[in-house]
Amino acid sequence: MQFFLGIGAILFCIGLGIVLTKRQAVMWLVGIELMLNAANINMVVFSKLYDPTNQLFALFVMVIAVAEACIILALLLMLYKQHKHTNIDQLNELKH
Amino acid sequence: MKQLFSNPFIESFAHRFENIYQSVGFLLPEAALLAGIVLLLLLAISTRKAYGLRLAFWAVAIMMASLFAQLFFLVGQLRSLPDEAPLYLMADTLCVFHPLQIQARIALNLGALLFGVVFLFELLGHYRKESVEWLFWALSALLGLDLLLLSAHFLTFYMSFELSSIATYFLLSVGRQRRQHEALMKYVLFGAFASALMLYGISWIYGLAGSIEFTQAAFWQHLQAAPSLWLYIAWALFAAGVFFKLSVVPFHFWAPDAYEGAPAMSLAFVSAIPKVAILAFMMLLNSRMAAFAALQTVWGQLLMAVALASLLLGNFIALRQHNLKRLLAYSTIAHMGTLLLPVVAAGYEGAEEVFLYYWAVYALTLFVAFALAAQQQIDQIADLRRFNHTTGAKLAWGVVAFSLAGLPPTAGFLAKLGVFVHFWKMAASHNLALLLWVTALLSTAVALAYYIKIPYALFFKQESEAGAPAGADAALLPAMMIALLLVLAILWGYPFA
Repeated sequence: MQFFLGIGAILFCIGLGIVLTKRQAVMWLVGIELMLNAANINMVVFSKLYDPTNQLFALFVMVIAVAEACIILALLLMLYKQHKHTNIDQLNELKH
Repeated sequence: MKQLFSNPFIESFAHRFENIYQSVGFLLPEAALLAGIVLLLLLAISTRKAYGLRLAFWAVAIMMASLFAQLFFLVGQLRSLPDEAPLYLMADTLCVFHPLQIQARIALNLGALLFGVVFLFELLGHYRKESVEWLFWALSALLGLDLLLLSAHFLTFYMSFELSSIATYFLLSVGRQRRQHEALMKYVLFGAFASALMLYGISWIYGLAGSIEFTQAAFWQHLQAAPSLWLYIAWALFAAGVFFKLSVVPFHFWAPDAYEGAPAMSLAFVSAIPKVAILAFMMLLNSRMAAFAALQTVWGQLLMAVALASLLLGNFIALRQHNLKRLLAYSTIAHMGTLLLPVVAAGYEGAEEVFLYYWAVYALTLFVAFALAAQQQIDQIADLRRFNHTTGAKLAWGVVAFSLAGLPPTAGFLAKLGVFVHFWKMAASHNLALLLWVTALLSTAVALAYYIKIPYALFFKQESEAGAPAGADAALLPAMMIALLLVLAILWGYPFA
């Protein structure tokens, strides 16, 4: 059990690291997906410990993750058509 | 196979079905909303012409009908609840009833009705192309927030949270202009990031508590027994998603950009409506924790720190803003900090009324501000000085500024006074709360410095150049009426006990 929790924690940290360091919007998507998967692993591990029916949670999360990825990718496509890049740092038409 | 059809399995299935069947009666308000959403979808796919006056008319009619039906059922639910204050009526383990929660759902419903009225006015005048889409996403967001308030289980909480987030992503994307994509990209990426953090937090809360049904006493007992470091981490991660929705300090980055880029009506919806649901949910969570002092301290300290940071950062950065929408974004951050005060002090009597009143005043004021800004196409505060305004618009701007700042002749003053008087009950006996109370009071004084820019530019610095944009907007008449209401509210006197 601890082994799988460890894997979850490592995945989460990798995802977090990607989000915090990378400036490409696509890499953000990758990082966010990794973090969601880390949560899924945790859910499945704890469900095995407490109540197996709660594994359902992981299934729902997967569906929602797909929906979110769809939105982000569609947005990325529109953004790329306009700006010819998807670097978040260079998106600064809006004043700070 | 044999096992599958054995008696206990079928019995448990029958039991569940019975449960679902009985619970449906409690979900009638949501059923009304869902019916409206499905009808809008059917309307959109059944007509060949994508846009049209008749289509828009039907869409608004469907929206209003479903909202009125929801209001009818909600009022029925509120009446059927006995009066004693902290009462939980379980329909099933998946949802739960409480007076505050039903009041908050009514507030959501009335807020959406206001937007319905605006669209009706818009139809009577000229019409906008994206109406049907807008109404569909607004109703979906409303359904998500409604279910979020009902949820008693982290799965239903997460599902409804995501439903409302995804609907608001689309709501902000209506219009599709160049600058909007950048604002939207930041909003969506931060939103997805915050919800991923929240989900990981929830998974650890599950691990620590051994259950995800947060209305059960056993859940809180197990959670209290957990090691405190893990508890801090899990709650902080969970709070990330919630704080993102509230746009309070560690997760406020999206707000100024999104405010600047997004269309005004969507923004008025997104910046006001979700907040009442999330804050009421936090209040309910707080009152469930009341019996577990250690947990409440952790959560209370977290909320107080966030409120403190939002008040300071929101008010001080707003001082430097020249863009009106950015100013409103930072003022929203500061207002959310103030709204967290009754949430922190939810255990003291009268928190609900103070909270709902403050939210209503804030939401209505913001609505007036965005309606005026959209109508006159004002971006910068300097534009206020440059364009010609009618006397009515000038007075309405004055009401907005005074109400946001919390100055006497408006309802904003009563709301602020109510919050401060109520929070004093907690501040009198608690050091950190006292610090927060003093900061909130002082930052209100700081806020005067930037809100006063608006009436100053209007009344004293008029350059009155020609070429004022005079596009009549449908939201203007409701906005004027609300501005009048905000002033008249003072006649009712101090509304709190």
